[in-house]
Amino acid sequence: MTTVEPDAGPAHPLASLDRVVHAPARLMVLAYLYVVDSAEFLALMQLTGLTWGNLSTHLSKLEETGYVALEKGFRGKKPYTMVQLTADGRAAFEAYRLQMQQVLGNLPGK
Amino acid sequence: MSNTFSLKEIERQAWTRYFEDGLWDIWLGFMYLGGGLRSLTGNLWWYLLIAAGVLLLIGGKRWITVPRLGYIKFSPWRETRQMRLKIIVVAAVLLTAVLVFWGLRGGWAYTGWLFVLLVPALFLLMAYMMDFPRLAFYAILIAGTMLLTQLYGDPVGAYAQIALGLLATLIGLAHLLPFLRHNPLPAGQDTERYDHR
Repeated sequence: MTTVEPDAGPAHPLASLDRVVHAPARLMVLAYLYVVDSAEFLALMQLTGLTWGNLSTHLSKLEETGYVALEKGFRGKKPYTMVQLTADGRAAFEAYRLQMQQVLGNLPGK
Repeated sequence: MSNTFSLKEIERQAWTRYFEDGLWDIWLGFMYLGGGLRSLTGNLWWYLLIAAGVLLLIGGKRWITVPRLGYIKFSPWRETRQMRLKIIVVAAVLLTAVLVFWGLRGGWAYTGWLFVLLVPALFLLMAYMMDFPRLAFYAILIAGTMLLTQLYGDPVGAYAQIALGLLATLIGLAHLLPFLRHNPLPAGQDTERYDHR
């Protein structure tokens, strides 16, 4: 006997939230990167309050998704890592921001 | 950290943390200390303290502050704002030179009073454009110092400058020492602990 699935209807808007952006720690990282041009790993760590390992993990995910680009270099003998949002990352954050404004912006009766 | 989390606030937070080192205060303190001592003892202290203040500000930012806080390249909006401020400061310095030259040549009798208005106004503008409220506090003190100088001349004006210089230097040190304590140089090399590949 064939089972007929009820019509699921359109997906809930919140279901389409970008989960890469939506995770709190990554959202924090993306927010700081959104308002600057680029930031050193150390600066991001201090601003977000994340540990080295934690930030490293989240940056890996963001880089894998194509939302951030990392540039490694040396200042004298000291290595550094600069992190910057890519165009995709900037677009993804902006889309997330607008989506949240739409979802949370209007209350009934107002 | 403020409980307000908005994109505007976090950008401001990222920017203003670079003023927590107190180096701008020390620079201003040395400048006025030197100015006051110059009126009393001659140019040597002025040259020494001006040079020391500038070296401390530039060198301090490079070797003390940025290694502890990390480097941020701010947005074009912020960079443009700072560039406009630099242009205004350069224009103000040129105007000052012209007014001083004109005053020395027996120009307008109220040139001194013009400085009493212009210099604090410049510092107020810097406070606004740099998002650095302590400069507004210094602008008020500078206005008071210049007013005393204009009304009573030296040594009253010189003592007022020295007092301002000492106060600003102490405020700077009161910021610098906790800054060094709360922001130690990061241990180890960047890539030793961060290698996600």
